[in-house]
Amino acid sequence: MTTATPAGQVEGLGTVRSPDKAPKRGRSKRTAGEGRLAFILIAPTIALLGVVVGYPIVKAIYQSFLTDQGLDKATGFFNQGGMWTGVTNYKYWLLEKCGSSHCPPGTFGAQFWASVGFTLFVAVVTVTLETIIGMIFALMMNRAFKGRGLIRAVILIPWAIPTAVTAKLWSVVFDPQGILNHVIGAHYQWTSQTWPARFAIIIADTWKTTPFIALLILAGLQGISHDLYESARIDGATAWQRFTKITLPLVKPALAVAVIFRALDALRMYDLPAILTGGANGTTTMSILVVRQLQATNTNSASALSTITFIFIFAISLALVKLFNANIVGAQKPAKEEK
Amino acid sequence: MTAVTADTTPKRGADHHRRAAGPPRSTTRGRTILLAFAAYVIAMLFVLPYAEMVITALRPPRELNRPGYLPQHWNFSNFTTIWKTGFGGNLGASLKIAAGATVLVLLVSLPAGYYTARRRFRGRTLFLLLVLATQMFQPAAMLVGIQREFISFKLPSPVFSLILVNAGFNLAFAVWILNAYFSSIPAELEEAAMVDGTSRLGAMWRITFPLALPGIVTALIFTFIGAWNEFIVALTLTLGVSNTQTPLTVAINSYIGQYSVDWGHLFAGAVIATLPVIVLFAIIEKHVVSGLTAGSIK
Repeated sequence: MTTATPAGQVEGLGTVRSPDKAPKRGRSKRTAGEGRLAFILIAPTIALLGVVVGYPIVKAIYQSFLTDQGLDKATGFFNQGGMWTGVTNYKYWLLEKCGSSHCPPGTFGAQFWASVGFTLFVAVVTVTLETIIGMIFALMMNRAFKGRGLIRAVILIPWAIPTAVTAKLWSVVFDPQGILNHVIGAHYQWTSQTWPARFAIIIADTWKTTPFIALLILAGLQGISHDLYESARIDGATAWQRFTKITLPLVKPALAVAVIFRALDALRMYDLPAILTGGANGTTTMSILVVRQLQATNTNSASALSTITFIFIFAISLALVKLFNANIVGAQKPAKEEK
Repeated sequence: MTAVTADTTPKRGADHHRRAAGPPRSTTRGRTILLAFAAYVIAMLFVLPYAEMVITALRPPRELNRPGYLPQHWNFSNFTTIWKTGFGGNLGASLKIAAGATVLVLLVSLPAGYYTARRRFRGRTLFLLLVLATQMFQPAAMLVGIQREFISFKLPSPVFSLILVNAGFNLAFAVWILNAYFSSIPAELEEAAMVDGTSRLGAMWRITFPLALPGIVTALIFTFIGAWNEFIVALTLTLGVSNTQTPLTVAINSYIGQYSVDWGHLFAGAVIATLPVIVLFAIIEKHVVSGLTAGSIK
C-alpha cells in the first residue's frame, strides 16, 4: 500500500494514494474560512441525521430507564408506567431477571441470550456467503461479454423486491408442498424444524442481498486500470496473485463499506425470519424480540433491548472498521498534527 | 451429425495447441467465454425464484395448490384488477418518496463525503463513526420518537415526512461510500487542473465527480431501493391516510391478511414494483460506463 503515485501518473480510480500527501496544503493554509467551509459542508448531514435518527435514538435510550405500565407485582395495583427504574429493564434482558428470580422459560427475557447467539450466527454466515458470492459475481460482470448489461440488471432483481414479499416468496418455495420439495423430490418441513428453518433464512437472505455486495464490489472494480493487470501478467503473476495483490487491495475501500453496512443490516434482521418462520424453532433474532416486546406494549423494556442491541452492533462495527483498516481510523496518522 | 463433430474436433484441437504455445490473449478469451457462461448460469439461479413469483401471479386461484412448474391456464387478471385497488396511487407515492429521498441524500452526502475524503480535520473520525452509528438502532424502536416528532412538524402530507425519514435512513451509507470513492481519487488530479487555471469548484465538477461516478451511482441506487422498500415507518406514518396514497410496500403488505393471503395480487404487485427499479438501473448503468471512459483512464 505504499504506492505514492507521482502527480499526473495516475493509473486509475482505484489507485491508492499515500495518506499523508493530500492534506499538507490544507493544513498549512488552514484559516477560519476553512472551518466555516467544513461547517457548511458537513452541517446538513448532522442536521438531517440528528432530526430523523438522533432524536428518536436518544428518546428511546432515555425511555429504557423507565418502567412500563402493567400490574405492579409488589403492590398488586395497576402501574401507569413511566417511572424511573434504573437498570431494571437491562437486568431483565442481560441477566434474564424477572423481579428477583430468574425468568421462567417462555418469557421474552429468557430468550435473550439464545436470540443473541442466533443473530450473530446468521449475520456471520450470511455476510460471509454474500461477500464470497458477491465477489465472484462482480469479477464475472467486470468482464466484457455479450449481455453483460442485461445480467447486471437481472442480478439486481432480488434486491429490488420488498423484504416482506421476499419472505413470502420463499415461504412459497419452502412450503412442504412447494416447488423446492417438488424439484428435489423430498418432503422436508423446511420452516418448522430448527436447522432447515435456519438454512431457509440464510438462503433467502443471501439471495436477496448478494446483489447489493456484488454491485458495490463491481463499482469498485470499474476503477482498476487494465494496464495494471496487463503488466502484472507480463511479470508472470498468476491469476491468484493478481487477485490478492491488485484486485483485493484496490477494491478494499468499497468492500469495507459493503461488508460493514451489510453486517449492520444483518444484525438487525427482522422481516425475513419474522415472516418466514415467525421466529419459531430457534430462529428468534434480537429484532424479533424487540418487536414482540413492543407489541406487548412494553415499550420501555423494548427500548432497553434496542439499546443493548445498539451497543452490541457498535462494538462489532468498531471491530470491522479496525479489521478493514477502513479509511476512517487506520490510515489517519497525521490527525494529531492538526490544530 | 458425424460430419459436424468431425468438423469441430480438429478445430478444438488446434485451439488447444494455439493456447498452449500462443500468446496469452486466446486463453483470456476462452476464460471470458467460460466466465460469461458461468455468469449466465448463476444469473438464472438468481432469477428462478423471481420466475416462480411471476408464475404464481399468473396462476388462476384454483390452481394455487396444484403442484407443477407451470399453470395449466394463464390468468392475467391479477395484473389488471390490481389497478382498481388504487395501486397507481401507491406507485406514485413510492416514486415521489424514493425520488425525493434520493435527491436529498445526494445533495447532503456529496459535500460531506467530499470533505471527509479531502481533509483530515479534527473530529473526522468521530463524525464518520457517529454517522455510522445511526445505522445501528432498530427502526422499530425509533418509531415512537419518529411518530411524535413528525406529528409536531405538521408537514402537509406523509410523503414529505417519508422523504425526510428515508433520506435520514440512507444517508450514512451514501456518506461512507462517497468518502471511500473520493479518497481513492488522487487530489493531485484536481490540483493539476487548478494549476491549469480551473477553479476548485470546476476541478471538482469536471475531474473528481466524473471519476467518482460509480460511487455516486451506487449511492443513488442504494438510496432509491432503500426508500422504495422501506416499510415499518411508512406503515406508521400513513396510519389513517387513504389506501390509495400509501407507498407500495404498505399497499402490497395489505394483501397479506392474518388468515389468508391474496397471492395473486401480492406477487403481481411485487412484480410491478420491481420494474421501476430495474428500469432506473438499466438507464443509469450505461452512464457509469460512459462516465468512466469519457473521464479518466487513458
